Amino acid sequence: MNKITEETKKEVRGLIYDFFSEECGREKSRISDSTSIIEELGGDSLMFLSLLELVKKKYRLEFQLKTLGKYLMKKPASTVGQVIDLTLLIIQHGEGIKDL
Amino acid sequence: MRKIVVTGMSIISPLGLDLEQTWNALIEGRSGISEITRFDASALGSGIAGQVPDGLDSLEGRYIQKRSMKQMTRLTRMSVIAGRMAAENAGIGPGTVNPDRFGITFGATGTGYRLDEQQGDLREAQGFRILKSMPSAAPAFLSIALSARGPGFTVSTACSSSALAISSGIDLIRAGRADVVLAGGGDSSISPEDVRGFIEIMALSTRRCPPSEACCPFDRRRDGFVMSEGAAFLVLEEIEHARARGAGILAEAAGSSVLSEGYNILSPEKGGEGMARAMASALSDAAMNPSGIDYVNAHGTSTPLNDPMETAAIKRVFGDRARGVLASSTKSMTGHMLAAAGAVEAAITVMTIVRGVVPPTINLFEPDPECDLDYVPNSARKARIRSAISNSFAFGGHNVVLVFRAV
Repeated sequence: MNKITEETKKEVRGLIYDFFSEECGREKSRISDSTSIIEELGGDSLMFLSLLELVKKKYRLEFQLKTLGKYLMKKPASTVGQVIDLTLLIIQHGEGIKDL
Repeated sequence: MRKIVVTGMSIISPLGLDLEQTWNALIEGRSGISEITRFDASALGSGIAGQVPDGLDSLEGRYIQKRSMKQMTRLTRMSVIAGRMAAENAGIGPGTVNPDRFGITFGATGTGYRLDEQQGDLREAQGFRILKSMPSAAPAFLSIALSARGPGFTVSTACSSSALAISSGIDLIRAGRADVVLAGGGDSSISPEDVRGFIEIMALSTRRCPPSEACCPFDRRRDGFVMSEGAAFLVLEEIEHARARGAGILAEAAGSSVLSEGYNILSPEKGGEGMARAMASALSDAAMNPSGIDYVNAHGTSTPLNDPMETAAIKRVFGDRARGVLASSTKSMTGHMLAAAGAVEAAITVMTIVRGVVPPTINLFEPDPECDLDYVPNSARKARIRSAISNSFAFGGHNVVLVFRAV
């Protein structure tokens, strides 16, 4: 299990805001934690795949897509804030999120 | 029967990035054919094509969300832009039509997912492969962008695909399944593998001449078609629906036919019999006699077989009047836009009714004795066009003919 510091939280938040801003062509100032990814940003579920690849590379994680898929079936993430929380859980627990 | 009209159109072609640019080039008799610049075609046996001009990127930025761009092939991007332009042209925006009665029909021969692009996507594993492989990608993305929740699908009959999409749109409205249908198609097959494939079946022009002169329908020097790319859409609408929302009406989509020749996978039926049957059937569907037709937008591919067969077919249908009907091939300027050709030429046919000018068949300097109709050689001609047909005859014998009439 990795420790999540305040610095990591800040870094992940920045990374995810940058990601959605870039991918959906919306200024960061017009995105908040409660912004809906599909309905407000016009995003799609495949964005999780792109984001996961990004996070895996940045934090050198070994993490299976199917683990994320199973977790999202139980606890869907539809807003930017929920995706930030999920990303932090992945960094912290890795494959262990399936037991959460 | 419900009467259907055309209330908006768009074309992206080698002649321009919109309908007006394309139309103006056609009337000026300009060719959109040039050397292929997108890849090295020097070893392929044919290095020319009709490529959509620079500037598509800026339209992509305007009409397609950045995220979606990565999920689309060039064909899907062009088609989505053209579809949105046609909707704009018809004044269709949020709240202007009932989403549940708004359909999209699309004609394509594939997704334009090039081998090199596929290999790149396999390396990246971004999850785009499936979306880029979906033949229905264009109507899917368009339905999302335009909130169209009526019928939506892709049809495929080789080079008559987008004409079939228009015929399908007419059928949907006639059947009461939709009030408005955005109908069209796209193609972006200019790739080493497809150029090579068409060379193998001896379909492409390989003669030595300036690129702009290679496509010469009905001329005895013709030796094959020239590939090109593009997309086009027509907005079809039930007439009372169009009037109720104050839409501009361009012409009536009066009828269509969709028939197979059941003859040969590549060659047209001898004597143009299958082609003639399709034209006659479309006229019957429109409840019209051949005498009412002033213009035929010919399939006119510039292949050795198509042009005399189509000429014979026109003679069969129009009889003694055949030489009095204007019949031009706009492929002489656009090249053969394959799956997109039917929709492009349908839009051009409607424009002849709206503008009263017929685009020429360019490069027609040495007429083939077997091709002896009035093909409007080399210069556009002013003419009052009350009704016109657009022919699309595809490999496999998939023939589609569309009939348009002034309103």
